[in-house]
Parts: sequence; C-alpha cells; structure tokens
Amino acid sequence: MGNFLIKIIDIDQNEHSQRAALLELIPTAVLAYDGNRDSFYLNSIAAQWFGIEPTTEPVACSSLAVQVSRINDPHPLRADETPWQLAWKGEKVEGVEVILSGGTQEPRFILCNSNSKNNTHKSTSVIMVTMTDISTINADYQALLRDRAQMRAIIEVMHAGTWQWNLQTGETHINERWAQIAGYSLKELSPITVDTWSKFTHPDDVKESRHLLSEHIAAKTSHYSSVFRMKHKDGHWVWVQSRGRVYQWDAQGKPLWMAGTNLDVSNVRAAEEDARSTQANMQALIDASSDVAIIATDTEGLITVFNTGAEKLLGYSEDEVVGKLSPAPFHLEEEVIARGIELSEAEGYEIAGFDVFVHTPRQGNSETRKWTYVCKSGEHRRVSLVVSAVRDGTEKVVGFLGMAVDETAQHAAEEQALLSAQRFSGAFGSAAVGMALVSLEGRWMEVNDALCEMLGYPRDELLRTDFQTLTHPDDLQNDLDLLESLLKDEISNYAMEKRYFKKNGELIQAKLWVAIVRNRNGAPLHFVSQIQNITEEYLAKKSLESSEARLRGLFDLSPVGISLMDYKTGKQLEANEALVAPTGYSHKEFMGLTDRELTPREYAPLLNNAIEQLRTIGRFTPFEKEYIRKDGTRYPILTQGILMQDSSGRDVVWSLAEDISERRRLDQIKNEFVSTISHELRTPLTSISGALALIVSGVLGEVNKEVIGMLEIAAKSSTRLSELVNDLLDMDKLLAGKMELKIEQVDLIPLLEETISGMKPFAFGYGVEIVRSEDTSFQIQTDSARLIQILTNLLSNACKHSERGGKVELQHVAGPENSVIFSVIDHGKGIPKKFRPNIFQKFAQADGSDSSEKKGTGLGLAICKELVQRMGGVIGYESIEGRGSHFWIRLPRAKTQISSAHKKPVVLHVEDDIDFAKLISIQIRDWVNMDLATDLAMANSKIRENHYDLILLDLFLPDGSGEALWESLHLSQANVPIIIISGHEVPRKIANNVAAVLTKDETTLTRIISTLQHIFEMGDK
Amino acid sequence: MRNLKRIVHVEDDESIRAIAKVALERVGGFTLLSCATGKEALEKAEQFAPDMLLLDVMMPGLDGPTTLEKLREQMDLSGVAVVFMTAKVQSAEIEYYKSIGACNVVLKPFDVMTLSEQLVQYWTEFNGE
Repeated sequence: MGNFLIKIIDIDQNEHSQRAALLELIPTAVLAYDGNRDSFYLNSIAAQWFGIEPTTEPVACSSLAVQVSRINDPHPLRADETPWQLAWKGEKVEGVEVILSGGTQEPRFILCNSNSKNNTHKSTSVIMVTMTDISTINADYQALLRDRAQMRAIIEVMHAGTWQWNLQTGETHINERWAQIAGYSLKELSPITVDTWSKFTHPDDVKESRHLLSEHIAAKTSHYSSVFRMKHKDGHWVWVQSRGRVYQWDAQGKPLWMAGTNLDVSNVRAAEEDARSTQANMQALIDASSDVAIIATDTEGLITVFNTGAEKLLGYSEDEVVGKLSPAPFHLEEEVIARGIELSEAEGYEIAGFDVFVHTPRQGNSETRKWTYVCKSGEHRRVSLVVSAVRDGTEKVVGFLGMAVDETAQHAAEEQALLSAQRFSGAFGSAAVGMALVSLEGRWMEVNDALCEMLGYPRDELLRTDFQTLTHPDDLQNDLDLLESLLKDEISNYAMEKRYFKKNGELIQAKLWVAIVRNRNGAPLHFVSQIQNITEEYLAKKSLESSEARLRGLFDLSPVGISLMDYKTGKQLEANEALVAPTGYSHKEFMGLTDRELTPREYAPLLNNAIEQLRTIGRFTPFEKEYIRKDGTRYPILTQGILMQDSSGRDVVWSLAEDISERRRLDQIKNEFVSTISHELRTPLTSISGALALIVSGVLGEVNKEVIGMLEIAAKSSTRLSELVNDLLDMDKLLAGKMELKIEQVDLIPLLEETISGMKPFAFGYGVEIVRSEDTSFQIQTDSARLIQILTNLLSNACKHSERGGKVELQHVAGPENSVIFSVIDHGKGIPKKFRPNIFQKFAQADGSDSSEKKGTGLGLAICKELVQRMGGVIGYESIEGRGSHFWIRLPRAKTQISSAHKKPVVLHVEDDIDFAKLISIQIRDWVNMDLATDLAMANSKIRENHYDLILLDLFLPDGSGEALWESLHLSQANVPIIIISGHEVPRKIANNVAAVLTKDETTLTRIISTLQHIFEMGDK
Repeated sequence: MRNLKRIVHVEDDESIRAIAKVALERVGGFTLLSCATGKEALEKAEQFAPDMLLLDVMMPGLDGPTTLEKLREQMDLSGVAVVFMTAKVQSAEIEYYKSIGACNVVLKPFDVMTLSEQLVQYWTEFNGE
C-alpha cells in the first residue's frame, strides 16, 4: 500500500480525476491534503463523513460543513491543530482520535493515521491521512463509563456494601460499607479473606447461603441472592440481603470473578415480622367472628378473605370463593347499577362494577350501606355492609375489607359490629391466648378453645360458670375492684396476675387483661378478657428465686470471701461479708474499690497473669497475694476465680478470696516448733549415741556379748534418729534461708569416688552394686559436701528401691552451657503413679506397705530439691513403673552467671506433628528460639540438658502421654510456664496448673503466638 | 612441741560432760577437768594449768566466749589452745570465734571415737605444724 500511496502523492496536482480514481480504490476513508492550497481530495467515504457530495475536485478546507474537535473537549480544533495540518508540517500522526460533528450527522469518532513524516520541504503536493470510524467502539466505551458511574451512584444511594470474590484464588475485596453493616471499619476486618464472610454469618444461615451460592456458580440461577444474619460488633444480628453474580470466566469457561452487593435489610425484616404477626392476629380474629361476615378483597375485587361468618351468611365455602370470585355474585345487579348511577352523577364521571363498593372507602372513609345479599341457595338477605380500605404503611390502598351483618338480627348485629371494631383495636389485638367475653355479672358469655383447654372445661360447661367461682379467693377482691374501676370508666383496661382453679382442682397461674365493651351510648355491655397461662414461667421463676435465695444464703454466710466483678472495668458488683470484714472498710466503701486498688502494687504482675488466664482459659488458678486494710496494714489471701457471663451477656468474674493470715501464722509456729525441737533433740542424742558408741567400742571394759547385741541395736537406732534430726535441721535451714554454700573448685572424679565409697556399706546392705559409667573428669565449682549429700541421697533411694543383686548407675556428662548433668539410675520398681505428685514433698515416702525395708526420713528428695535449686541447678526424674527410675540433676559448672538479659527466650515445643511445629516456629523465630521434641523420650533428654523458658506441650505423643512430663516438670521446675496444646479434654489437675490450655483448632496458631507474646512481655517487666 | 595432755572442758549438759570425759580420758588418754559452768572454770582453770580449753558456746550464765574473756583476764593464755564446741555451723560464726582467740571449732554432734584425734590435730595446728 506504501507504494500505492506514493503514487497518489506523486501524481501531478492537475490530474485530479486520476487521483480521485486511485483514492476511490482505498477501502477506507482517506483524504489527501494539499497544504499549499489548504484543500482536500476526499474519496467518497471520506466525503460522506465530511458532509459533502463526492467530487474529484479539490475541496477548500473552509468550505467543510463539519467541525473537528478532540474527544472530551467540545471546542473545535484550530486549523493548524487538525491531524492533516500536523501531518503536513511533518509531525507524526498515529492513532489520533478526533470527532467530526455538525451538519446533519451524529458526531463521528474517527481515528487518523498518516505516514508522511518530515514533510518539511513541502516537496510533495499532498499528504495522505487514512481514517477509521471508531464511533461504535467509542460509544461502547463511553456507555461503560457511564454505567459504572451510575452503578457507583446507585450503590452509594442504596447504602450497599459491595464485594468481589475470586472463586479460584479466594482473593476477596469488600468496601467500607460492607464492614460498616457489621459495625466494623474496613481496617478492623483486614486482612479480608474468603472466610471473613462466614466468620460473621449466623451459623444457621451459612449452609443455605452456601447452597444458593453453589447453585449460582453451577449456573443454575442467574443471580445469587440470599438473606442471612451477620453478627454485629455490638453482638446483635443484622439481616443482610446479598445479591451478586459471576461476571468473569477464565479461558476454560470456569467462573473466575463474582461480585455483588450487601444491603442491611434489618428494618425491612422487622417490618415484615410486624406485618406477619399483625396479619396472624387479624386472621385469628376474622376466623373467630362467626356472626359477622368478613370479606376482604384485593384492589381488583378478587376475594382474599372469606370468614366463617361470611360462609354462614352466604352459604358459600371459603374454598369456593377465595382467589376465585369477586363479591359481585353476592349482590343484586340492579342495586349495584342504581348505586353506580347515583355515584356517577355525584362525581361527574362513570362509576360502575366493583368501584361502586369501594369508591368512597378509597377516598379514606369507610362506608356503611344496606344491601341485599344473594345467598348460594338463592335466598335474599338484607345486610348492613361496612366497607373500608386496607392501607399499608405508606397509605397505599392494598385491598378492601367488608363486614356484613344480617339486618334480621339488627340489634345484636350492631353490637357485634361494634364489638368487632373494638376487638380490632382493643384486647383482641394481641390474640393467640385464651379469650372470653364476660357478662357484667361475671358469667362467661363466649370463650375460645384455648381458654377451655386452659381451664380444663368443655365449652358448654364453662359457659355455665362465672369467673368468680374459678378465681382463687385470695385474688378475687383485687380482680373485682379493678372491674369496678373499669365500669366506672376510671380506667380503660387492666392487667393482673391471678390464679384460676381448673376443673380438676389444680391451680394455674395466669396473666389476665380485661377491657370493657360499651354500646354507642357508652353504656357497658360486657367485658373482653384475655387470659394467658403463665404457670410454667411462674414456677420456673419461683424455683429460680428459691435457688437464688439458697445461693444468696451461701454467699452471705460463706466463711470464704466471695466477690463478683465486672471483667472489663474491674468494678465490684457484689461482695460478701467474709470478704469485706477483714478489710476494715464498710460494705459501701468496699464496693467503691477495685481489686487492683485493694492489692499492693508489687502484685501487679500476678494480677496481670490472672487476667491473662481468665482470657485464655476462663479462670485463674489459686495464687497468694495481699490485701491492704483500711488502716494501711496488709494481710495475706489466697485467691482464685472464674469468668462467666451474667444474664445480660456481660462478662463477670466470680472470685474467692480466703484470708490466710491464720494459716500463715500456724505455718510459722509449726516451723519454729520443728526448729526448736530438732535443736533440743540434738544434745541428748549426741549423748546417747556417744555413750553407746563408747560402750560398744570396749574402752570401758569387756561387755557381755548379748548386751553388746542389744546395745548395737540401740546405737543403730540412735544413728537413724540423729540422721532424722540432721535432715530436719537441714530442711529448716534451707527453708529459713540459713543454709550456706561453700563453693570451691573441686575435681569431679575424686568427689564421685568418695560418694560411692561412702555409700558402699549401705549398698552392700541391700545387695546392690553402685557402678560409675565414665571417667571424663573435669573440675567444677560447687559445695562438695552438699553435692555429696545430694548424690548420697539419690543413691540411697536408688539402692532401697532396687532388687537384690541389681545395679545402680551413677553417671555424669558435661551438658551444654557449661553445665554438668548427674544421673542416678536404678532398675527397680519405679515410682508408683499415685505417689508422683508428692515426690518432692517433705515426709513423703512411696508405698507404706513395705516401708520396713525402706528406711529413711522422708525428707531426702525434698532436701535434694531445695539444695539443687540453691546451687542454681535443676532436678528432675523419669520413671516407668516396673522398669526403674532415673533421677537427674543439672548443675552449673561455674558460678559465673551468663547474663540472660538480651537473650531470646528458649521454648521447647513437644509435638509430633512436625508441620504444625514448623508453622509456629516460623512465625515467632524472630523473638524466640524454638527447640522441637517429637516424642517423650526426646523431650525428657532435652529437658535434662537444657534450660527452657517455656514448654509448649502436646499431651498425646507417639510414645505415651505428656502427662508424666508435665508432672515431673511441674514438680521440679514449677517456675517454667507450660502451655498445653491438645485436641482432647485436658485433666483438670493439669489445666489448673499450667499457664494456658489451648485446643487444636483453626485459631490455635494465633492464640499460641499471642499467649507467648504475653508471657514473655510479662517476664520482661 | 610438747604433747597435748591437760584439757579443761566446760559444758553445762551433764551427759555430754560424762561422755566427753570417757572419750577424752579413756580413748585419748588425756587428763581432763570437767566444769559445769563458766564460773566453775574461772575458779579452777588457772590452778589446773591446761594445754587446751574446750568450751561449749551456749551455756546459761557465762557463755563460752564470755568465759574465755574472763579467763584471759585471770591468766596467761598464750600457750593454751582454745577450742569451741557448737551446733551452729555457719562459717561467719566460726570466723568470729577465731577472731576472739579460738584456734578451731568442734561441731556438735561429735563422734566420740574420733574426738581425741580431732583435738590432737587442732593442737598440732595451734603449735604451727
């Protein structure tokens, strides 16, 4: 085409017809512009666009009928800005869009291109501009923009939330309003995922909505439309109407993007509910009226309601007429026509057919007229018909209601009509309960089925009695007084709770509403009563009251202080005497104080910990703190609590606080007593054992062999007694903090040799051999006497619990971080499960049954634990019943303290699910060093060798339950927090003694992390 | 160095006195003066001319340290080794006893069979060997 165009350009300017012919060959609009003459050559397509007749002659630019402008700019282009002028000047014209407008044509969007570059020398006679009509494309685009703007405006006006969802990636976007419907800001909900919706949606609605969604995705419905409830931030439910549809599919035709809107329709819902209940009430009322014919129609006259009264009067059944007939067949045609003429004349236009009945009501007034009804049997009845328009909330007429009364019973009917009206507005409005008309004397005139059933009488029998007979004597006077007031018109209605006797003699508790019905002149006709059986509620309330009274008694009389606090504010809501009395405050003063204000400041970390426990496990485990009395003195309390919700859904904390001053005092007395006694025992013991030793040694002369035998027994016993006293004194010193450690550099092997040789005679007594496994010697800084004491103690325990001929191993290995780990291993019976919780307690000994052979004071392990801790170490054990026990201690090899200030906390995660462990470890590795043990054995060995700041423990492990691990940790390193992560119920004793219990579900990960953060932040403070 | 021979033992508990007497005289072969109170020691010690004073710390009336102080006013104790007997074991207290002139401390309860050896060892240390 290039060559072809050049040909056109090169043609001599005078050969117009040839140029025209060539231009005509180009299948699109094209113009050749001669800048020297400022004129065009146009082919016929271009000529049409420019609004001129096709011509082979040059056309002067000034003679063109069209205006050239840019898109989005209504001002015409200056001549030198037009694409052809630009091209003539040698500028690049490529994809330039302009609008040709004016003349008789619609504005035309065209795309101009010219290949004449650098035409500065004006050497050619013309430049070529090809043009493409892009009006359609452009119009589509503009329409799209317009649509989008319109959509946005609509969404804003509707106050709709919008959402977009990528079905394949789950990517989800929502707007601010979406979040706002649930009471949140968009920011609060971030990050938005596909789960954000289900998180807020009422569980009962999720399934249905998902179903509707999948129907749409499967292209079974054109739109997704669902109404569901969303949990508002404030806790209530918001009804939301969500509509949307798939608007983009991928190359395979699978749905890709879906978008839609959410509307808060709570108001609509509430209105619907209202309408529904009103309708139900109306219906009940209409059904109940058998003496008034009630016929309702829609606006067109089609019957929608046809009650029993109407059936009775007209002889048609409801099925025959509702939705099928208009009231026309019930009327004499001539009457309708006559009335029509009357109305037409009055109004000046024709009114006929159904309009005859509803013309006046439509204006806003109901109309009462006499008509002749034609019954199904053909019989005529004179009726008085009241017609009124039924209007919705916006005053729009939605139907008509006619009430007809048979004139033959004129008087009664009048009263009935009046009654009906009153029933509408008064007592019957709330319906669905026992209802009765009661004569002025108290006789039941009319009763409904609900009332008969409630009182246990057949209808006719009930109608023969009066309400006075059935009313409990204690309630009668009150009822009669109120009726009297009603009759005197002092009150318009009343409500009371009273008791009725049923036919079988039972009493029921009922709620009674009474209104009075008067005739036109205001004279009382009868009463209308509604009676609701509230016996069950009443009994429930009574039983609640009595259990409340019982609890109240417990609360008031409890010797333990009990308080109820608001979880959020810490404000005291209730406090019993036992709590308030020791503080010295009056009850009123006490209620104005928070627990935090009553507690000395230094307990703040403990309080924070308790709050964290409440948050994570719903209760806080017992701990000791102090309260400040009004006079400023303090006293110790033991407190524990539980988080609950009160009836209004508020979070409250019940806590128990026991004054333990007395217990503390007794503890102290006991300790002093033990201390004194031990000291006092020591002196005579020294004499006894000394005297015996001297006699047995023979320094005082020969003694009879039998006597020696007895004396040896006495000597041994006094030695045991001395040991006991020494142990007691050690314990006393340790507890009183009086034990001094003599730390010095010692060689380990000689120390161990000394220990073993000291134990040999003892071990021999049990037929047990003590073996030492290793000879790696190093020096450690320790109190050698105390270390020997500890090891001796562990070895003697091991010997005692070994089988005769067994071996006890004493091992030592260098541990990490310059520590040494000693192990004493026996292969005896192991530690019985039930004894384990007491193992490090004073005077604890396993299995009393064979204690005759296991001699000891019961203080050994308690002393060991205290000593090891005093020496900066840790003691622990592992034991399998029937297989033996392994006690270990880890001691620092040197006194130098490694500063732990800026070290990351070290956490051991005991978990067999490696992926889960990784998931956690990845998230917290920046601030925690995580170590993983995948089974019990590994966990035990890691705990032996390393110090951990926290243990994350899964109780269910491939080689057994983590319970034993927890127990040994809890007993020996109670200060190391443990978090239990379990998919099962956690035993209460464990749950009460760990930092947190978390169950394995989708939220675990974030909760673990937040709990860890919390614990370690607390530790730093 | 002369051998340890004559020891004054001051102890308020009669049975301990009796045991110590046997342990030191029969087992150790020493000559012993047993006194029930500090006062008795003040009356008899100078005349006895002891090599060593073995003083119980806690006694009614004059306690061990006071008895030592009063004795020092009466007689020259430069060649006499002073040993306290006590059930308290804290090192600070041992240092205190040393500071008021004791050469060492015997801890209660003591082993009757080895008490003599222990005292001989203290005596040797006292004499600078």
